[in-house]
Parts: sequence; structure tokens; C-alpha cells
Amino acid sequence: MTESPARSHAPSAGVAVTAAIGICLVAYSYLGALWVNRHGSTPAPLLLVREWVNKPVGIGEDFGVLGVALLLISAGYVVTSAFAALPAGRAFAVLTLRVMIPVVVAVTLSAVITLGGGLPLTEPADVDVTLSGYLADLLMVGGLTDSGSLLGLGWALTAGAVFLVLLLGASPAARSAPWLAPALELLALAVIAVTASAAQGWYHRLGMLVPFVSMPVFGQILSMVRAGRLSGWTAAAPATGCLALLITAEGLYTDLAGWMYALTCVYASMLTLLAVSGFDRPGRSIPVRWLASRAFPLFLLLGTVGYATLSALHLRVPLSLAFVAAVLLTGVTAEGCHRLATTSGLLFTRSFARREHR
Amino acid sequence: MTRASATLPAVLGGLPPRRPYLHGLDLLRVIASVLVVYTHAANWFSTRGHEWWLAISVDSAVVEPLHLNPAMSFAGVAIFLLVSGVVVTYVGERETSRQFIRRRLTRILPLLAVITAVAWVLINLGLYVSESRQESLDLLDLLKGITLAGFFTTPEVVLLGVAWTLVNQIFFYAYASVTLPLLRHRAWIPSALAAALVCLVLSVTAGVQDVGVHRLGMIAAYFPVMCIGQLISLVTTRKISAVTGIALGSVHFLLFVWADKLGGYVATGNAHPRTLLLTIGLVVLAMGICGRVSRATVVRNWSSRTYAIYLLHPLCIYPIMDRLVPHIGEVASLLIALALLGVSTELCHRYVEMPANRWFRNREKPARAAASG
Repeated sequence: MTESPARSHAPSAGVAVTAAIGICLVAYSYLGALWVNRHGSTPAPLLLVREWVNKPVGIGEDFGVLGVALLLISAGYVVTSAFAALPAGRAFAVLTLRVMIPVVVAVTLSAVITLGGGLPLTEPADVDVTLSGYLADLLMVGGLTDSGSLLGLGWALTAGAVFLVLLLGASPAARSAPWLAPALELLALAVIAVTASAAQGWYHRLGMLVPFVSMPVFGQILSMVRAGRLSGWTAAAPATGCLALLITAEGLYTDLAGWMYALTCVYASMLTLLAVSGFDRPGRSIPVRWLASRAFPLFLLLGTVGYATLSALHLRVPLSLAFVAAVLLTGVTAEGCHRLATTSGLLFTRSFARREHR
Repeated sequence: MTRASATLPAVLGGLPPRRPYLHGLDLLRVIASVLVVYTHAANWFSTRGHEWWLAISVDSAVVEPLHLNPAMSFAGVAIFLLVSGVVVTYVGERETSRQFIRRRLTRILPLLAVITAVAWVLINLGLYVSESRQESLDLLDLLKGITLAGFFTTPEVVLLGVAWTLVNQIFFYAYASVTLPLLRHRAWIPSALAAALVCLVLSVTAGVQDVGVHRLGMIAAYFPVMCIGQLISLVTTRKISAVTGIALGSVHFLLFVWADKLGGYVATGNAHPRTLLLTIGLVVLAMGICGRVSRATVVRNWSSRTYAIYLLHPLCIYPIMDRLVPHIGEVASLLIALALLGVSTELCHRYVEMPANRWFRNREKPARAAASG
């Protein structure tokens, strides 16, 4: 092998395209469509897109779920690549910094804005700021609690967190047989889905997230195939398992029925497969790389900074200007978050390297 | 075209280099043939009031969750039409317009003629029901079936219902042969022009009850599918950029959605756009497949027989199932029907398709030699 082990585990540039498309769709759906709908209007272009694209192809919620699915798949891909490239402890530490810093910023901002009378995207819309709720959101489980979440998209964050826990739990098994990791994760998810369907409260809500946790597992499988740790045929079984889990969960939970989530996730999977196979060149372009590398903080801050900015400005300036301001402010805040997280990660890596050198 | 031109670089008027074989499309053709057979077998069960465990399982595991058409209808046809668009564009670069249309027609017509004649006999013997419900057909009807003209007459004379896709394909081949020179030099123009024509035809034919006009509308409704196949080929071979391909492909997809909304062109479900989008993804992914399975001899052999399977399967499934199920049950009847399909496919492929193809190619060689000499 001529390339270094680290390079062979480098994420495909094509997956950056997936993340970039995903975050743009989330922005369109939540900052665009959802915000205008909740404020009493449905612009003609939005109706046209719904009538001519969303309904015929079965992608609901104005592409929001498609965007989230793309982000979850690319997250699974990137995290798996990171764990393969670095020692587990170091990978976990870097990942924690990269994840926790934007989460802390977003949750804190949302709490401050809510307390100040602003209107970030929360779930439900009238969530109260409490210490327990704040801590639950910091632990990325706010969407499971009865009191709701300060992050309107917290459910997706929880799905990602569940995947991380499963990935860490299954990683010892992966050393002996790589295919075991996704297999065990899917088994755990299937058990949760089945047992939680009849449960109440947080466990039932966790069960409803299972279809979405299968998305980063799919990304994980894709990363392992790309790195040569799984053959295409060995990967087919767990990849089919992801789809089977989606379909089963849709049948078990009435709240999930009728939204075409399984179909949307299939589209997301296909798009990612295409991107990883042949979108390397667009994946190296500057806008795509910027969007992909800032996708996580952008995802968190669209609902806090972006949504709140729109809500605050729409009565004071023309709506189009309010949108531009919301997007810019979200972008600037996300850039700040990203730099803080990256710098912290670099400092940690250097200090770790210095300790190893001693 | 002279022999010397075969060795000149393409930019100097020589033939473009041979492109690598698309093994993934062989695999897709096999899958598509399985899907069309499954669809019609499932239709037999549902129209005759029988339950089929396979259809129930497929419906609950695939059709309902993915909101596809009942019995996976249109999935196999969509793959065939897309692949048709890809392949004829892929190989058409090395052919003149006349050669292009001749080769496509000689590929389609011999087997169509033979199987239509078989269908004519079966209908007149009362063993098969024609798509247009005639109980007896004369020689003129046979001619209408062989030439596909029956799709445009009032009343319609349709011996082989599945041949509706061939009507669409022939129109696409005719269009492709006329626009072949444009395809070589400004590859995006034929597709853009096709979009404009489809738009015009759909506008003019919408709601018109006349059989011939309605048929033209149906051709326009499904034309975008083959155009999307063409665009996939052009992007893969870098004749157009991916951005241009996606933009034009989106236009064609929206035209297909429009045709679906207009109604009257689709009778098998309301999930045609979803099915098309999924099959587009499959075809694009398959373009890059070159593994052991796609290169396997059995896949290649099966793929070369999919046209025969496509034409023969209703003639095997419906008469056999209608006659045998009351006596030996569904499973045995279906197995016999599939076995008959296999045997008849092999016979048609060996003794009709391949000889006709060889005969034509042999006639082409002296003509090419005379032209170069």
C-alpha cells in the first residue's frame, strides 16, 4: 500500500457534498418554509415547490427531513473515519470538543434569547427555560424530556448522540470483525424500537428516533466500505438492515406513519452513495468545504440565531432583508463556533502529542 | 464511413474510441425483467381474485413503506426506458443516423413480428385476451400489431399490451437518429429541444379523446424518461457537464410530473414520479458497477434475453395460469408458466433475435466494404 493509513481513512470529498446539500435543505425547510408558515403566510414559490416536487416525489416537510437524513449519514461517515484514523481515546476527545462547544453555545444562546423575550426555534414553541431542561439539552437528550427542548432540532441531535453511544459500545467488537459493529448497533436499535413502541414518556420518544439513528449507521457502513474494512457484499446485509429498521419503526409508531420518512431516507442514502462515488471534485470546492465543515454549528444555530433574528426583524425591515440578516448572522456565529471548536481540538491534540513525546 | 476514418482521432472526423462496456446496466436489465414479470404475475392474482403470499410480502415490505405503485408497476418499465436512453446514446456516437435507426429497428422488429403473430394465433384460438379486447383478429389486425399502427387506430388494435413501450422507444430512436449530428457537436441541444417538443405536444394533446392524438400524448409523457437516460449517458461520457445534465434532467423530470398531473397517461398507480426518481438513482449508481456479479456470464446472457422476456411473459403467464390454476393450483401453474417463459425466451433468442441480428450485420459488412473500396 503506497498511501499512509491516515490517508486511506480520510473521508471522501464527496461526503462533503452530502453535508453541504443537507444543511442547505435544513435552512430552506426550517428557516424558510417553517418560519413563514408559522407566521401565517405561504408564498407562491413555496407552494409551487411543494406541488411540483415535494408531493410527487414524496419528500415531506419541505425537504427538512431529507436535509437532516443527509447530515446524519455524513456525520456517521465522518465520525467513523475519524475513529479509524485516530486512537479511540484521542478521537473521542477531539469529537467531544467539536460537538460540545457548538452545543453549549447554541443551547446557551437559545436560553438567553428565550429569557430575553426572543423567539428561537424550540420544541414545543413555548418551552420554559429551566435548569434541568438546560442541562438535558447540553447532554443532547432535551428532545426526550417532557419539558421539551431549547433546540427545535434537538431530536436530530439526540439521534446523533445515540449513534455515538452505540458506536463506542460496539467498537471493541469491530476489532475482531468489522461487520459486527453495525450489526450490533442495528440489533440494539431494533430492540429499542420494538420495546419502546408500547412504552410511554422518554423511552417511547427514544424509540421514535430509531429510524433516524439508522442513518448515521448507514454512513458508518459506507465509510467502512470505502476504507476497505468491509466488502460491498458484506455491507449489503447491514445496509438492508438500516432500511428494514426504518420500515419496521414506521409501522410500529403511529406518529411516524404517513410522513414517508422511509422513502426520504432511501433518497438520502442514494444521494450519499452517488456523492461518495463521484462527487469528489465538487466536494473540494470552497463553498462546499465551508458548508460541510461548519454544517454542525450551522445546524444548531439556524434554529436559535437564525430563527430568532427573523422573528425579531421581520416587523422592522422587509422580510427579504430579515432573511439575509438571519442567514448572515447564523453564518458568522457558526464560523465563530467552528473556529473555537477547531482551535480547542488543535490545542488538545498538540498537548496530547507533547505528552506522548515525553 | 471509410476504414481509414476508424483510425483517425475523433476530432479529425474519425470514429470516437470504443467506450467501456457498462456491466452494471446488464444487472439492471436483469432486475427490470424480474420486476415486469413479477408485476404481471401479481396482476394476474389480483385481477382473478387470488391472494399471493409474495405480493403481500412485497407490498408490506417495499410498496407501502416506499409509497410505490401496486405490484411495483412501472418500476421495471422505468428501468428499461432509462437504460434504453443510456445505451442508444452511448453506442450512437459511432454510427451514422441511418445506421443508428436501422440497427435499432432491426433489433426490435423481427422478434416483435414473430411474437405478435403468436399472440394473434392465441387470441383467435381463445387462449389469450388482447389488450384491446377483440376476440377475433384478421390479417389486417395482425399487420397493425406487427407495425404497432394499431396503437393509433380507432378502435385500437393492440395484440401485445406491453408493446406500448416499443412505440415510445421507436419515436425516441427516430428523434435520436435525426439529432445525432447535434448530439456529437452540441450534445445538450437534442435534450433541450426534446423538452420543448414534449411541452408543446402535452399542451396540445391534453384532454383530447381521439385515440391517435392521445397516443401521441402518451409518447410525449414518457419521452422525458428516455431523455433522462440520454443525459445520464452524456454526463458519464463528459459530453456535457454534470450541472447541465442535472438542469436539463430536472426539466424533463418536471415534464414527467406535469404529464402525471394531466392524467390519462397513467393507469397503474399514482407513484410514477417517485418510482422514476428511485430508478434514476439506481441507473446512475449502476453506471459505475463492474464487479464480479455484474460481469458474470449468467447476468450477461440473461440481459441479452430481456427483450424476449419482456414480449413473451404475458403470453406465458396469463393463458397458463387461467387454464391450469383450477386444476393444479397457483404455485405449480406459475412455475410451469415461468418454465415456459424460459424455454420460449431461449428459442426466440436463438432462432429469431440472434439470426436476424447476424443477418443484418452481415449485410452491413459488404456495404461498408464497398463504401471503403
